[in-house]
Amino acid sequence: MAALAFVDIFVPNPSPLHSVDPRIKMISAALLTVVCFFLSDPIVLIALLLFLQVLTISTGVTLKVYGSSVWLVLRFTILLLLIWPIFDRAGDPVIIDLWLYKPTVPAMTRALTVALRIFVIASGWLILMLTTNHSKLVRGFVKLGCPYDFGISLSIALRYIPNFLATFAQIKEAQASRGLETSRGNLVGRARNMVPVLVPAFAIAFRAIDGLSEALVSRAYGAKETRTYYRDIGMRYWDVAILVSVVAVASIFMAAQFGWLPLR
Amino acid sequence: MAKRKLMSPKKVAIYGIFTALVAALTFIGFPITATRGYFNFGEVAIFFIAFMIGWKEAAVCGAIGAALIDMQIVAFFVPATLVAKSIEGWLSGSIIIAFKDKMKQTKARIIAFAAGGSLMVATYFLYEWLVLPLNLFNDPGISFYSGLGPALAELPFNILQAACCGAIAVMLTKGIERAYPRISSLRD
Repeated sequence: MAALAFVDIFVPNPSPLHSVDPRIKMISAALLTVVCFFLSDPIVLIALLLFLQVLTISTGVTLKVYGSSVWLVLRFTILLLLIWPIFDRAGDPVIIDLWLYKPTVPAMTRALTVALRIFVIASGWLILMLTTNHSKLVRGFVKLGCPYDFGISLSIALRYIPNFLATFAQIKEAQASRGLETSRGNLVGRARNMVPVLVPAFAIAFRAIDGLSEALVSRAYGAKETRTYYRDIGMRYWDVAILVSVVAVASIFMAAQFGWLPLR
Repeated sequence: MAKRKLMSPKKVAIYGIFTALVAALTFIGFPITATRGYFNFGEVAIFFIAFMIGWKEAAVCGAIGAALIDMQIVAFFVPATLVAKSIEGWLSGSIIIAFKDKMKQTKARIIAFAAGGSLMVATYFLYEWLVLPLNLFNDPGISFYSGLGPALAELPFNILQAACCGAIAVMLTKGIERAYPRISSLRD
């Protein structure tokens, strides 16, 4: 797997995309996902993909994080392109006929469209994760109407993911020093060998639950109905302009897709 | 509108910690070279929560925890993950409650993970088959079968993952019940 740091891929950098309101970024990423399922023109998808890659690079991401995240998606899309001709053999101009494996031009266009669609969606969410830190993400959710106790749960979760990963690594090493082998054997055997690692990890999780609930009580959680914040997020004119333009572009794409625009 | 009561501090901690646990377990695992996927242990935590805590926690923590990781690794699977893991947690948790006094716990747990796991596998299969290649309204030539290839390629690995994780979760639950008897206080 990729490096441990991949769980938190936020890039601390003062790029323009970082200062955009998190709500706008979340809504845009969700909108992009929906629109992508409707787009079917490879040219449009390629243009969209290139635009998103430019945006990604503009966030100041390091080459290592960018490369590993692109590679993760690329792996899947390459596999999809390779397997596709086995199951989709319709269409006329046949590229090469190997009995069961018969890639045709229309089928490969379809495969390419699906691959591009996957790539575009992944890039959109990657930009959101690169430019929004956890606390802003949670503030965005709460501002969008998510109750704040769920917000607290979510920020606890985001905070504890790296903790647990470190705990797992530590327990694994401790058990390995007692003779446990987790990286040899077949899949089932390796999975079974994880049990001695998981039991202490879960026990640590329960201890964390006890400690956290006491900490929440001692900090007067739930004493007041409304909550105030030290660092709040607010919409600026710039954010509203971005939202309007994103919605406009998305609706133009959709309208063109359904043939509501007199393009031809 | 009547105001919703805030969750108790213990509930907040349970949701937070178990979501993190599901996410961390989803993240560790080994890659399967044959498909895009990697064998992960996220299901262990989901089944465990369903067995020991309750169906609501299993559904919420499972869906959000797994989606948090998917969002950064394979974003196009997020909708499927949200649906698959939440129905998995819900179903296995409900089965545990339904069979609570009717049969031995271990038997009920095996039934629960088999039912929940097969729902999860089916959701991913249908998503890869029907939704990912979905080409809505534009091109009638693209029939629905076009995504069957990758979906079929991944099916056995998903089944294996659900079965393995379910078995681990049953073993784990027994171990934890012995090692940490206070866990019964976390149930509602």
